Amino acid sequence: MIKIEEKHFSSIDETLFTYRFSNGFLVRMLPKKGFKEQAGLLTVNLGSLDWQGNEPAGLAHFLEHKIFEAESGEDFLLKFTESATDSNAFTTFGYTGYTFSSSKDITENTNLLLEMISSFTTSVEAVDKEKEIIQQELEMYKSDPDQVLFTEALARMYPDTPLAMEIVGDRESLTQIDLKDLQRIYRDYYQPQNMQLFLIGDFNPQELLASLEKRISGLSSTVRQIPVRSPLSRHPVESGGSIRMDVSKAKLAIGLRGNQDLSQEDLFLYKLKLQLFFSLLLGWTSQRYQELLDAGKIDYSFQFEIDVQELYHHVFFFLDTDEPVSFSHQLRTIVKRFEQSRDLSEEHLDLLKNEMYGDFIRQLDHYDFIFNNYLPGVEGLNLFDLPAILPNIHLVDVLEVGREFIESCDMMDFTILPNYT
Amino acid sequence: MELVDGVHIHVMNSHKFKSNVIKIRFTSTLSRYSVSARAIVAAILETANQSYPRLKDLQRHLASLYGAELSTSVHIVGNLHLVDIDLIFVKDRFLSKKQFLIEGIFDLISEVLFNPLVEEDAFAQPLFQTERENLIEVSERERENDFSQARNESFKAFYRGHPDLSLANYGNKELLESETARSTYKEFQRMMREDRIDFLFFGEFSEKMIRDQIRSWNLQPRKELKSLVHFQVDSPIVQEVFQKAMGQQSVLDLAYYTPVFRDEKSYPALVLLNALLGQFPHSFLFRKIREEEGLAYTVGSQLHVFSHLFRIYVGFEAPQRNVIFKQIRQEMNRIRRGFISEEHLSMSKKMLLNLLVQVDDSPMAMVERTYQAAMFVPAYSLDGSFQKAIEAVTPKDVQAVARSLQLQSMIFLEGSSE
Repeated sequence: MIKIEEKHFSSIDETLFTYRFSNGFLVRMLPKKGFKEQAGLLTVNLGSLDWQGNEPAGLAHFLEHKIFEAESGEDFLLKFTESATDSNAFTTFGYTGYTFSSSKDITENTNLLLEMISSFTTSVEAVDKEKEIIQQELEMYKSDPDQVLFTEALARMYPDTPLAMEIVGDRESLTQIDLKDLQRIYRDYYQPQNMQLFLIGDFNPQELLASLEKRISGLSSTVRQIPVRSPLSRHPVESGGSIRMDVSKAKLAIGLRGNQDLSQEDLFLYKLKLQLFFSLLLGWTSQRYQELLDAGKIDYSFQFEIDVQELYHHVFFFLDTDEPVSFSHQLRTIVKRFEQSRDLSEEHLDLLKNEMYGDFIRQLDHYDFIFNNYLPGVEGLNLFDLPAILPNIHLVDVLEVGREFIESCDMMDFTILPNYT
Repeated sequence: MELVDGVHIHVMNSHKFKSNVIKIRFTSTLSRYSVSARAIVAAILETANQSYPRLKDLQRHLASLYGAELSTSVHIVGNLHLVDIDLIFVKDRFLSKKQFLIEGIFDLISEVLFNPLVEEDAFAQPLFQTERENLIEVSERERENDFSQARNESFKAFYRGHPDLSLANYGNKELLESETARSTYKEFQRMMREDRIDFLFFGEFSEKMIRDQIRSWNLQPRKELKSLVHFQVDSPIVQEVFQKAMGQQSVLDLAYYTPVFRDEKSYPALVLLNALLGQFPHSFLFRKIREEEGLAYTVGSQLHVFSHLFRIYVGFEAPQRNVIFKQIRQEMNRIRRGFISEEHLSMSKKMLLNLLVQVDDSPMAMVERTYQAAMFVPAYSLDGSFQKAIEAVTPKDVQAVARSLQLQSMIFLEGSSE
């Protein structure tokens, strides 16, 4: 019998099973009694951040598309459909993800997924045809103002880094992608020690793992060193940029680029504290939010997003506004003078902790939430530790993180202005 | 159970999930004279009330109820307009302290329904203004999205002669602008008095407690709703609409008339036709237009079950319009001529059955299913099972429903080339 690590989280009544194969492949399993859906997410630590300066942008994403082609030329998407399974894939800055979801047998689907990523066979012609499809995908992103706002703002926050490029690449880089590039990154990154599999559904973890063992052990570990991701270069942020699009109101992004050094183990807790800090300061339970709303400075489009990763972390505020310049100034002042805020109280924090706890519990009914929020391949604290660590977060901790972040961050903004017609 | 005429309570007990769900649904006949007022009412109810007069106050209160979620939404189904108030909250057994959250939740519902933020027979002016402005902006943003713009134009062309049906679920900008704080509050009062109301509960609840609580609100009987679904006749003329798209991408939206209704024998075949053509990744249009020809990234189809409409939509580069249209016609004609492989059909059946099973994993989907079962005639079934009816569909059945589709309109939004 395989010795699986079993961790029970009593306050949320969930048990997580973890097992690492000798070739380095990591499997996590979360049994869900009574659920009909069985789903899996396989992640490969290969994203657009792995771009090497001398290759065309968009390789990781391109490979994600072409992995679906089987040796016979068949499409794995169809194979999944044959067993009534939804499957999908996505590429982020940090990793590539493959998902499936079905009410049918999870063993069969997981094996199919493993079969799919265990080899990469395609032809020059197929690669050329895929370029057309991805070109269309790019067009779609480019016609969505919110998407453009985010990518353009990010590009100006991290100039001359992989974060400044579209994950899918651009028109020019797409034409340059050839089969050899794809084969190379497949060989370098699609190795068992660089992959994690997360499975959720009503199953017996022991039996499930046993039924997957053969295929997972069979994944070739070429013991090749996986290329190390280089740190992002810190060029000055570019502020005040704008472009014009067909929008009825200007769209403003205000970015705060963090400059702390974070280790993998710190990520989860750091993100939690930063989230609480900005919710205290400008969340919709704050006095300040209400004042800005009452004064007509913001509307419901106002929101902020926090991203904390090993290589970078930042906070973005987004909103539609007729006065992007003055509001950007106002918001930055609020952030810089956060010590004057009346919203930073122990009582307010308790309220937010309550809310965060409840939100978390409720979301555990949704597989997507778990897949999206469980940090893949990360040592240290993770999603299910939240109920245990939340009570121990106090106002001083939150303020400390917020203060350090703000004192050392770089601020910038970017605007999409309406076209004059 | 029906508490009084037109006020219904549905309680579904389940221990599977970590949260409880309550939906309060107001149902009325769709009309352009009330649709926008109802949308504003919905927005107001989730923002503030007399006890929690500002967004911040209400959000703080919800946070104290362990992040309970209060949200409202509006929908059009057939001839009906629905206003939903949804509450989702953690089950008591996951709370660290011994608590009965349900009491706080019922107090909140009672505030929302019976203690709105009103001054002299009108919703509070600033609240009304903000919520209406916000909806107007939603309507403008929708105009900026080429797919939703194409869909709206498609509705307009398809439901010609029935202007109410072509409205968005919040009406439109002009209707929103014509509402006042007073007219909106009047509509809310009318909803409380005349709308059918369904209280739907899913999770761990005491039925008796629910009944007593709702009974204490003393809701009065109301008239039964008539003509729930929309009947339409097909038109021999195909309408064409050309517009400029916002972005570089072009969008084509085709509306077909289908004579088939939910309780008819050929309904399962219609559901399969949608699955075969555009609902799934193995669907013909996706395979052909996206995977084989690389002509488009977004392509799909949608069935509007309660109003005779079947839509196909594609996003692509401008010069390809004729090619795309030809491909769609070809795929449709292949099905009409009966070129449907057993393999494709059985794949589609499996995917559909899978979706039906997965409804069990979503409290909201279960609630929706319960409402539809109470409201509409059931979908055509064999031995009481819609699943069985799906399984029994033959290629010939699909061919027959494909032949009965009539193209009614083509909307083309032309993207700007670089």
